[in-house]
Amino acid sequence: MAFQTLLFYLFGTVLLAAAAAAVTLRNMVHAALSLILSFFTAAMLWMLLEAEFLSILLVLVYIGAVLVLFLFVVMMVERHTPTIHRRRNYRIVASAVAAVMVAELGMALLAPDFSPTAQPLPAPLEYSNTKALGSVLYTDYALAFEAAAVALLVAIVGAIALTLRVRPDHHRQNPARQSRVRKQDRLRLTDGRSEPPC
Amino acid sequence: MSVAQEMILMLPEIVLVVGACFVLLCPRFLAWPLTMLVLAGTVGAIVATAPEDPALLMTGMFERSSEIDFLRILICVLTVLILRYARGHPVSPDRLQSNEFYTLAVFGCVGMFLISGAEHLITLYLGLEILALSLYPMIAMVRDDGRAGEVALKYFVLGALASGFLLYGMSLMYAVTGTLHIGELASQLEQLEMNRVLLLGMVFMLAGLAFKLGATPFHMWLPDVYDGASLPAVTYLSAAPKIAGLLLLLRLFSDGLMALAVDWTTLMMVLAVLSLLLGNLVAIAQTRIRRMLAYSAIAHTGFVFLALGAGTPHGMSSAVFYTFVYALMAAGSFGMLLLLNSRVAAEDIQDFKGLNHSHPWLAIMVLILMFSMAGVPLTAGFYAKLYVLQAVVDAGLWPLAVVAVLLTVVGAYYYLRIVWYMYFEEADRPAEPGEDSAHVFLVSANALVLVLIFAVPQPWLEMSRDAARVFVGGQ
Repeated sequence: MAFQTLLFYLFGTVLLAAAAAAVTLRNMVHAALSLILSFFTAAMLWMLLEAEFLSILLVLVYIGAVLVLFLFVVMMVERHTPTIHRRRNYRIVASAVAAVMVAELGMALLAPDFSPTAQPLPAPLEYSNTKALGSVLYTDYALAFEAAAVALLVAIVGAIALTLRVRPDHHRQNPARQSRVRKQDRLRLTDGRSEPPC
Repeated sequence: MSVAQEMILMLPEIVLVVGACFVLLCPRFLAWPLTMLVLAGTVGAIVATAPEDPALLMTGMFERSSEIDFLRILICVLTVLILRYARGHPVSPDRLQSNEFYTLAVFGCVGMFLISGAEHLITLYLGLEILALSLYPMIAMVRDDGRAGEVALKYFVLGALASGFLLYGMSLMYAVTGTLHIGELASQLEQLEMNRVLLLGMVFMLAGLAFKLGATPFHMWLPDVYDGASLPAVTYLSAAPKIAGLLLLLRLFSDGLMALAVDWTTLMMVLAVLSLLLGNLVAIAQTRIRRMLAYSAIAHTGFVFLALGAGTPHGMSSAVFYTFVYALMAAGSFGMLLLLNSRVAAEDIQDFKGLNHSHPWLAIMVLILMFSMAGVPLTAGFYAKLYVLQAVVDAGLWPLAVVAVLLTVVGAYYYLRIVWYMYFEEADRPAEPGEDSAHVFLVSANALVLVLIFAVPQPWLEMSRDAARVFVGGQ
């Protein structure tokens, strides 16, 4: 138990430091990399909670797909760091709001009924949380699963609607038209004498 | 309940989702008629499958009760109206990407329907996200207009932040109660003692929803979005989603968190007074009609929060009635704006000058809409405000009622200014509204319904009362 607690605090510290770095670093590539680190340590925390499946999913999906895409985008756009207009009064207001939030969260998390000692009991050996998830995902949560699918479809439609641009003057290949072409449409036989261009 | 029975009760949602997919894939010229067919079919499905008793479906994640069906029908009717209004506009969906715009509009309805019946926090959140995800691209779709993209991005970032707030609040609730079912949450909270984690979760959820609804001090995005997006998108955004927002508030607070009512009613009152103050005062200074309507939307949101903040069944039913009337007024106002803008841009308040001289019938319709927004008698807006104020006074909060009345009087100024311009000022340049007779007919019908509701308020009030009863005190 002591070792696990030690690991918890280790990962927790790294997570917080990496998350703070992700929002404060000026270099976007470094920020994205520290975001990866924070996600990875979050996955390790889930592992400590015996949520192995979700933990691996976090690494595979978020780090493997989403954040790598992020990195690509960050590296594709210009490298120069954007000049951020720092307005002093915004900063004061923002820090005040942040201070209030931190105080509120601290008060809530230090409340006796929300202490981190209230950890779940270790699951029995044969318990598999992948199986447990699978048994409810398409039964108890069928509606949520379908609604999530609809949300993804809406996102795809929206993204394509915003990026697809059909220009009337755009010369694209149209295989159907290409294969419908017949000889008499394209080929004109002349008798070899020069004739004025038509 | 058997699967077949459940599917029959879910038929409206199924029709919408399948219909939206067909609208996406159909040839361009069919997109408009097919959208109308899908929405009409949905209304038909709602009416045909209305259950006698509330039924819990899909393993308790969704509730179908016929009492709130009239709000769902209203969502469909408003969507039809708005899409029809938008057709004559220079950047109408028909001239942009009709399939995509109409598909997103129908998917927005799917999100609103899911919210309307959500009995589970996950259903609620996913419904909200489907609605929001269909709104962002609709706003950004006019890509030649840099401003539309800018406000869409602003809306997207703030919307994501609000979703984060809402989710964080929900996760804190889950951490304490161990359930995501709204009914179970309500009964758990009644047994639990009050503690700081619950309070924090409640505050986060309320802040997230206030962002989404645009209540002060979370309103910053609203005037920019109303001003910068294309008129069809703003019209869609301004009417039906307000009903979804009300249903969200009722589901989460009046249903799920009733046990914490002492705390959230106070917060809602603060939001209400701030929104009324800011909305009504800043609207006076606006010269562009859209910004004025945006600040008026903030003020109207304030009224809804005022009604819910009363924390009584009376307050809830008056909130339903208010939102019902407001959605009609907003759709009518933007429909009128779309009509006046269909040939030349006429988005300044000055452009209303002398409208009575050139188009007396339209002037009367604008008059009805503006009087209703201001809450002048002979229009539904009067009753809507009256019932909210009654509920607030009944709850013993008469100082707030006095503040609300004073701010409403202030707010009446900028609505009546438009009326003054129409009737008593000379036009700088002639108004050129569209000639589309169906559009004129629909806008007129929309405005005249407001008079009808004033003349016969009882059935609408009954329906609002029944709808509010669904939410009182959980399952």
